[in-house]
Amino acid sequence: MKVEEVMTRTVYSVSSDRSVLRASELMEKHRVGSLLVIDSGAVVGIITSRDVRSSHPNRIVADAMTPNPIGIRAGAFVWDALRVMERHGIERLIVYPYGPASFGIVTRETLASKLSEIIDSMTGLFKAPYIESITQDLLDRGEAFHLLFIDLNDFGSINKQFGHPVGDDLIRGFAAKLKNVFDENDCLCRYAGDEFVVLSRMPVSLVREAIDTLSSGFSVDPASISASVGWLDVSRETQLSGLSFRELIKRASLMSTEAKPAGA
Amino acid sequence: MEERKNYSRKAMLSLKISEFEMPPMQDLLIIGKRAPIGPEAVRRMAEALSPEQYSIVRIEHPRIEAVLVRTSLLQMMDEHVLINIIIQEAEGLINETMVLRSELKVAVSVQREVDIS
Repeated sequence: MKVEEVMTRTVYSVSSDRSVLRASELMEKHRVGSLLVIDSGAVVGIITSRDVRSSHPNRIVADAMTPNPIGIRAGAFVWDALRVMERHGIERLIVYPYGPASFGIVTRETLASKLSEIIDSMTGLFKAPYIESITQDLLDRGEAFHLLFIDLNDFGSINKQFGHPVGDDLIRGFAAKLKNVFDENDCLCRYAGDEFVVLSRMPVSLVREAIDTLSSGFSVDPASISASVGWLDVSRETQLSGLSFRELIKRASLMSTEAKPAGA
Repeated sequence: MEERKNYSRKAMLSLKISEFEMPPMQDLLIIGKRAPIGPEAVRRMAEALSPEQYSIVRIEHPRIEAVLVRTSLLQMMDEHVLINIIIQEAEGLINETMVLRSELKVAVSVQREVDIS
């Protein structure tokens, strides 16, 4: 899911030399919580209803706005937008440009409402359709990355032996381990019940270390489990444009099956 | 009706004319955090009235947001020293909704001793 799919396209603006009172009137008239501040066709700031409340109405917008607002590409993924907001502690991002001199706005509230569609509630990892779109985007842009397909070995027997709550604890614990092992810029996904997919741009040596850590075993009292990993270094592929997510998953999942210990 | 005939309205005009001071902001403006005019508006005003003669210095202070200062003063002495003195003197007077205007003159007194032998 990309920012352009969730952003607000009808954006109202004001110039920096207008009064805060005028900005407040515009917000009320259009029933919006913020205005872009545009001078000579360039975005120079953003003024929000909070700025209006904390400023004297006689002030000019330039003295109440947040200058040089942080923006994001319309083609960026929503998760990246949320990460930018969290890093800067802000509630809105300018989206630009999606047309000649056209701007949009995306708010944290909008993103939060969309998150349930892309995030697995048990683990906090991405769901499969979202990571599929990220993979396709990387392939389309010809970017090198590693795709890891991770399968927990003999997970079915854990549920049978210890019960589903223990199985759920293992899934959550393994998701936490994935978050520890990989970089914050990597994309982590719960692909299906006990299967995970990781898209990583870490160097080969770090990916190898991560695989060793994941394969070495993991326990949540009273159960313990190991994982098998299928690893595709997409940078070694000669024809990225011909590849698809389905093809990559097929190959990586078969590799993880081959890596499984006998009987798992 | 009779009363209406005697009714009249008059306006008394009074003019006080004096020369407009240029620039009207003298040497300093100290701008409160919630003043009706903010630092950018003050900067634009100063730039329109006296181009390239004033600078805005933004301040970290609970009540003061910025100081507009004649640039030549900043050339005469260190900005940090000058602003500290201004803040020390202004913070007892200003609240966050006010803009204070001030003159600031620097007189340098020099005394040198030379060998006359």
